[in-house]
Amino acid sequence: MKPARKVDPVTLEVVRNALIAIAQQMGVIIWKSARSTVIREMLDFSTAIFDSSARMIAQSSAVPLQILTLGPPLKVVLREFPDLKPGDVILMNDPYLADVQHLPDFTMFRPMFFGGERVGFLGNMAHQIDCGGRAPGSYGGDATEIFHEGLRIPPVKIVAGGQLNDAVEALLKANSRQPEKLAGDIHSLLAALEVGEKEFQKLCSLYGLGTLEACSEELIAYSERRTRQEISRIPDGTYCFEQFIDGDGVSDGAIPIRVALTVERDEVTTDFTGTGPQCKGSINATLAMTRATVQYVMMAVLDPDIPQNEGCFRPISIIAPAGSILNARSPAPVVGRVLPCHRMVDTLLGALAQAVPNRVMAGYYGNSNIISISGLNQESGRHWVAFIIDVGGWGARPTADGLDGYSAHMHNIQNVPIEILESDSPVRVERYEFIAASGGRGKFRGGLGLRRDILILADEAEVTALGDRFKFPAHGLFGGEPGQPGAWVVIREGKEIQLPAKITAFPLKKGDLFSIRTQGGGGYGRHEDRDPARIERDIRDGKTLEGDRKFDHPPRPIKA
Amino acid sequence: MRVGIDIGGTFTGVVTADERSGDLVLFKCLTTPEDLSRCFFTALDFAIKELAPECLSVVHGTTVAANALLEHAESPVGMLTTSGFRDVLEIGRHFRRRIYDFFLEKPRVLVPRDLRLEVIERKDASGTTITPLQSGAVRNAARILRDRNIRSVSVCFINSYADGSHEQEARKIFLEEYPDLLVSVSSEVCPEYREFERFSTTCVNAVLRPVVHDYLQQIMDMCGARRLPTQVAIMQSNGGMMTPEDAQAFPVQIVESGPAAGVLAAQYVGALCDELNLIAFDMRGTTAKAGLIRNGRIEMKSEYRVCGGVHGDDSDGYPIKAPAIDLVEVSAGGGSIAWVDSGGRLRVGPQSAGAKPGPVCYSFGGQQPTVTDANLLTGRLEPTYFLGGQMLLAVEQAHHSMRNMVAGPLDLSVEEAAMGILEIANAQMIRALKLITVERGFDPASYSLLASGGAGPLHALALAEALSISKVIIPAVAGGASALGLITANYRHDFSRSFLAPIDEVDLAALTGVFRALKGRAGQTLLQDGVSQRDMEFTYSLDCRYVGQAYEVNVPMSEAHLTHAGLEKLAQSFHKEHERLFSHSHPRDTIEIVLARIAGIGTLQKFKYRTPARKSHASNTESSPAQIYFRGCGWLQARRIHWDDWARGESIEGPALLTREDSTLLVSPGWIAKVDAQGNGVLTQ
Repeated sequence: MKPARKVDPVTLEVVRNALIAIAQQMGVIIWKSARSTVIREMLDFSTAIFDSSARMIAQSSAVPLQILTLGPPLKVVLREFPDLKPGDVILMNDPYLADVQHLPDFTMFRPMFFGGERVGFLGNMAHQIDCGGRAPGSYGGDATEIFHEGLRIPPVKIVAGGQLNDAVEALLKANSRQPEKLAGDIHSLLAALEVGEKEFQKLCSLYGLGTLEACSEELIAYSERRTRQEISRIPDGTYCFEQFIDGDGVSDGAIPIRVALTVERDEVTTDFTGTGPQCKGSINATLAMTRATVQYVMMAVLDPDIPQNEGCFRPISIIAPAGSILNARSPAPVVGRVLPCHRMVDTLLGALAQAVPNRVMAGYYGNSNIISISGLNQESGRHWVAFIIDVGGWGARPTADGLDGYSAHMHNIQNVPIEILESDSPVRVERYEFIAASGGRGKFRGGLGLRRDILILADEAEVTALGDRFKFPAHGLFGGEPGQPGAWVVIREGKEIQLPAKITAFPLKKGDLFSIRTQGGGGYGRHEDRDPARIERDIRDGKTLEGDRKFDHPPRPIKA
Repeated sequence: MRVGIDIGGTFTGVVTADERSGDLVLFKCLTTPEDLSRCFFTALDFAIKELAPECLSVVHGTTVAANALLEHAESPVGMLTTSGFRDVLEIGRHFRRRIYDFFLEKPRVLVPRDLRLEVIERKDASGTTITPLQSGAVRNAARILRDRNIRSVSVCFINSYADGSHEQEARKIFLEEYPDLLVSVSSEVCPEYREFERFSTTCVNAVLRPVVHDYLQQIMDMCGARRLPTQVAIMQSNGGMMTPEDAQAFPVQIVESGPAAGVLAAQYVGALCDELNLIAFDMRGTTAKAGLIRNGRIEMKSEYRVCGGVHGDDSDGYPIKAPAIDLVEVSAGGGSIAWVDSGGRLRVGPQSAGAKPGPVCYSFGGQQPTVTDANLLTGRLEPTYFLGGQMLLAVEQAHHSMRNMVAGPLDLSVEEAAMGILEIANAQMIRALKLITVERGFDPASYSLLASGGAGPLHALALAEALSISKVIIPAVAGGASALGLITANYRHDFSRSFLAPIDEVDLAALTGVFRALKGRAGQTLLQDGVSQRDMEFTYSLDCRYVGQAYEVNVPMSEAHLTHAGLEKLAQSFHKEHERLFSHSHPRDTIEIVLARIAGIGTLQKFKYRTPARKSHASNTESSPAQIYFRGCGWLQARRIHWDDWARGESIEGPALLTREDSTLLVSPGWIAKVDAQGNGVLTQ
């Protein structure tokens, strides 16, 4: 590495702006031309720029779970392909062979060259609609090995010197239920990398390599400095909290997530010792995911204004026992990895509430409520998939109620419009609305959960779903009550059938109503301290019950 | 005789144009926010005095709709929707832009929950009735709205984009029960699929109707009462005019009225200078905006968001699905505050000092240095000739604050710090200019830059250099560009209709029928505007995508394309456009048509206007030279000339400052400035 040259603050800021612009430009290409609804409507993709030493210096991502996740796989690429040539692109998706989060996240890297020298790397990743495995959408909630979850791709050279390897593309397509969409999305990832390199080369000729290197050095140092400053404002101490996951869908037992968060001067250690072991079911996280989650929570609580790069992570260390649900070993399945990450957020915030009560929120809906309803169109011989991710209520905040039915924390995706669902798949949505009184009461109440009822119009269909917080509701803080748990209900011939949170290929038939009921958020502070005007407004809006007017009313029962 | 009246947030601009002489006159008065009709008539009286006409054709751009949207909670409106879906409007798409913000609030929902009424009815995606409309429930809803004195309601049913008959039926019942009710119907306001965006557009329309209705009625009534020889038209966000009556029915079309007119002015001035490819850039106190003109045509967008709230970007605001001039906005303006953060990084914005307390040098109480202060401290603004000398700029105070708050902490000299602030503000504006060009698949280097607004001409050349743009135009009325744009407008009406079909399996008769219906509606509206058949022009286009994509590309077409061979050609244009926008295309893949669009344009006679050269200065001599600081060069001596003393055709080499009442033009070293016959500044490298 070349010695860093001092760079003036103006050039630094101008270059920082330019780098973000490149990362965003790549994101726009992926987003606009994507075929799969997961990318296009749910924005589950990210892009990043790395310097010549493979340190991340700029990124663009709409999904917090993707923070810093492109760094670790790039290290794998460099180990396996130490001498990448101009125009090469490496593709991968495997959590154990390539440190990617899970199989649907197709991840690509391209080296950048300028004047014959390798000056950095570009990375991007986008969630694919289907890459095989035992369930459509590659969401097999009952997977017990990574092999059940779809096609595993170690780092492979999909493009060599600008030449696409058709054999690789053919292999990928053959392993997907939606080959055209998959190929379309792969091409938009490739196009974005190509455009990104051209733009970065323009920066190189404008500022010179030395200045760019100095900028990346200072950007990283700056973020580290700011992160340390913010940590040092939190009172020193060790703060502990625990939360539970309902179960892994294979065996029934609750799984604990435990943290001891220690603040010592300008450093933080999050120790997850005592967390449950990796499980048979798919809800395991690898260390890459745990790292992204801790980073998300710390940045949100410290100061979101600090530019995200390698520097932010240096003052924060993680202890996650190998073989635990937060640091799983091969061949544990990981397709449901977001669930432990969701629960980790509430666990970390519960610990931080003891140190900085004004910067946190109460428990939220806390999982991704992933539902995939699918079937085979007998006429065309093709599968149809209605893929839905539903959100629930936010936890209440120190100064405000939780938001009703809104994506929170690790989760940030758009819902698929009802009119698109109905024109693409043989289903009809019968309602999509808030569930009254589903937020936990408090000085500030938790946000409301959502109900969505889907009528099956095809003769036969099946539903695969990954839910949680059906048993353990979102917790309240400082006297706030918990929110209502979630549920899946099938209404068949007038009878309600309660389904478990994790189901795979549950058969549905024409006329069945699949009813999604998502979780409300927890309250903050005691209900007795609630401003009566807020109670009246909620009663007028039908968001809560008349009984809330009485402060001596017993806490709402939790419908588990 | 034409008059453009543009009511902005602070000032109301008027441009009068005498079609016989071609002379333009510009006038400004203060906007009267408590009663906008007052400044409208102040402006109109000025025009009447100036032109003494027998007939005035007035085009009006107004912020009345944008203001009403900000204050919508004060007079709530109602909504009638399919049973089970009253929360669609509040749930939205729940995607958040600021992902780390625990204290986020959603924009206040357009219709409160207790006024979102439900009725049993249902259509499927093909428009077929699944459940008939229950008319009793609609009557009941009408009574609830009447009892609560609600004046305006939206009717938003699921799948009504495919068939609007239930919505029409509901309107009929509403009007039977409650004849004064203003009813906005989603299949009429925005017959496109994706329910939340359609509902939002329709509810914005419903929210705006009472306010816009009353405001325009007041103007029409007062014109009538005073027997003014005027005919009034309203500017829309799509850059075309509509009658006040249409604006009363579809006020969602006029939300971006003023900014749209600014781009029209750029198009008009560009055409006079033979520049058909232009980036229209406008920089004011709190924001900078950019639009694009390609081959003489303004680039449009089909969806945008308004009133995002306090964060300066509209990404979290209310979606409106309706063609509008494509404008990119960044919160970087003259008032943007410069500060050093706790990590020692120099930052500019997003906070703005606005007009009050304003920049430090205004002496209105501003304490933090701004972009305007930085311009002053690098010699780019003349302290004694700001707003034509109406305001004296406080150099000492600006210097003091710059030293204490920025230069000192960063260990820079005051001019280095000020220069840095300008460069960082420029970097943010360059991002906006790249958004409007590079991200839409265009190369900025093949465009000229037209800069307007009070601060635009100061920053224009630095931006041009960064984007390799070699020609910059400063319009003669840089400070009154929106008013100028108004008098160059045509009538325009956009109509669209969802039409989902793979392009190679299209039922040609059905598609032709859709276009015929759209054309009929557009032609009828133009007739009502008073446009004669021979002045009507219709442009057709289709929104298409590859099967499975959820984002459409707009492909222009003509009636001649409505054959199998024609559609084949259209498919080729789609592949090409996809390639240009996204750098890849797939000629073997199936293309799907999603939406048919038509724009009916009523063209008015074009005039070539000029600003009469005038000598406002008693002295004809040049002022003493200015000292201007440039990065890498230090302080340079520069000529300083008043714009009106600048002989037409005379070349001026940079560095130089050209001053005027409404703006200052900085000519950087390496640039040559000329003023053309119409009074516009043209700068080349």
